[in-house]
Order: sequence, then C-alpha cells, then structure tokens
Amino acid sequence: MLVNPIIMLRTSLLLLTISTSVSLFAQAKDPLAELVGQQWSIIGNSAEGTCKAGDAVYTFQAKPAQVVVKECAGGAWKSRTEAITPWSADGKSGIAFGGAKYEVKTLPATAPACKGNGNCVRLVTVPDGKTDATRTLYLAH
Amino acid sequence: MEQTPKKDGYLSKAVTPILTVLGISVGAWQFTSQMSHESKMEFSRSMYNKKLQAYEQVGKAVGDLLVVPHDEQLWISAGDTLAFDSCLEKFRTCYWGVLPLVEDKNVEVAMIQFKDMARFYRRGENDYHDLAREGMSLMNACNRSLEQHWQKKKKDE
Repeated sequence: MLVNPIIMLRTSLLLLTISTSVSLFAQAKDPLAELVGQQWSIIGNSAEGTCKAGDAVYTFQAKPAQVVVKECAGGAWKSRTEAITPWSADGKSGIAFGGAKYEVKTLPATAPACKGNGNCVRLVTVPDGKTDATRTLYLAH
Repeated sequence: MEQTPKKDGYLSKAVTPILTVLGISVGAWQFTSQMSHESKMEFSRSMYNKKLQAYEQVGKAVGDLLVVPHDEQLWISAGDTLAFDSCLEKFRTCYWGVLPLVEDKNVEVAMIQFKDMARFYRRGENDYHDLAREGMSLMNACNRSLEQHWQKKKKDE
C-alpha cells in the first residue's frame, strides 16, 4: 500500500500542533483554581479568636466565582462577598475583585514573606494608573 | 456709458490703500500663525528630546539592575544584595526624579511593575527570568511612548 508523503507530512504536522496546544493549555494555570476550596488568612494575622486592624480571611469559590472577605474593623470581624472576574492583558493574567486586579503567584515556603507556611500565595494588585502604590497580600492556609 | 478718467482715478485711489492694508494683514496673520506653529513644534521637539534622555536614564538603571546577578543566576545570591540595593535606589531616583517630567501612563505602569518585581526578586519570591521579562516590558513601553510622540508630532506637522 502506497502512502502519499504529503498526507503523512500534513498528519504529523497536525499531530504536532495538537500536542503543542494541549501541552500549552495544560501549563496555563487557572489562578482561581489555585485558591478555591481553602480559607486563606493573611500571614501575620492575630491568633484565632482575636482580631486586630489589618487581619483578613479570604474564602474563594469557583461557582459562582466569588470571594468572601472577612476583615477585622474596630475589633470585630465584618464579612462581605465580592464577585470575581478573570482578566488577562499583555501576557499576564489573574483575578479581579473588589475593584482591583490581582496577579496570583504560589510561593515556596522558603520565601521570607511566607514565614515557613507551606501553602503560600501572593496576590499583587496591578497598577491602576491612579496611584503609584500597589498592594501585596501574602496568604496562607 | 463711459467712465470718465477722473472717476477712475478716485476708484484707484480708494482701492489701493484697502488692498495694501489687506495684504499687510494677511501677511501678518500668516507670520503669526507660522510662528505659533513653529513654537509648538519646537516645544514638541524639546519634549521628545527630554523623553528620550529620561528613557535613556531608565534604560541604564534597568540594565544596571539586570547585570548585578553574575551569570544571570536564577536567584539572587547574598553577595549581590548590596549592589542590587544600590542599583534599585538609582532606579527609584529615576522613577521619582525624572519620569514625572515626561509622564506617560503606560511607562509609569511598567515602571511600577518593574520596581515591584525587583523587590520580589530581591526577596527570593521571583526568579531572574521574571525580572528580565519586566525589564523588557518597561523598555518596550518606553519605545512605544517615543513612537507615539513622534507620530503625534508628524500628524501635527
């Protein structure tokens, strides 16, 4: 049986394209998927039961895409829910909630900001063009 | 009916000064508008040169930061931290001292992101590739800013 070399070449190129696309897709991490299913506390939060200004706990959900933010204000915990939307621009991606866009990165426990916490993520706001400051949250569960 | 030579003389006496005044006015208007255009172009040119100089300074600060880690090693070593901090200071001086004069929103955002990334690299949270990528993005933003300035100038001309 004779096989047309052009067809062979086309088939192998098609297979190569499909496998490359699949592997690239597999490499792209969904930032929200890294966060759902756990309660994330700001590293350095007060001990359980107590609350000081700046303490916060985040609980992410995939469906519907939202986050429950529990923040300490005036010595008491206050809770609010924010919708999450994904974003991507200039080769970067992340999640947006509460009027800010965040880039999400998993950090190793050895990073000083993680203070030895094995499950540690960093959320950095993307500059909005209004202020020079960006906000960085170090979360662990 | 024929016009008398006397009447013709009156007409030319009346029209000549009007034409003269009109000619002088048009000339003056042309001169003023040309001068105004020239001064606008001169300002735009000087702003372009200032931008170019500022971005050259930014580029130098970025380059200095990126060459501190020897052999482009992935993570910062203890021996490089002092030099890195010194270069970061120079970059911050650029950020606060030079850029506000020739501010461009995209360049500003890229500078903030590079500044953050330098801090993260310094703390061992991001590797050298991330830092180099941000540096490249910043220089691309500077490049685009200059291109836009040039295109705007050409459009004005």
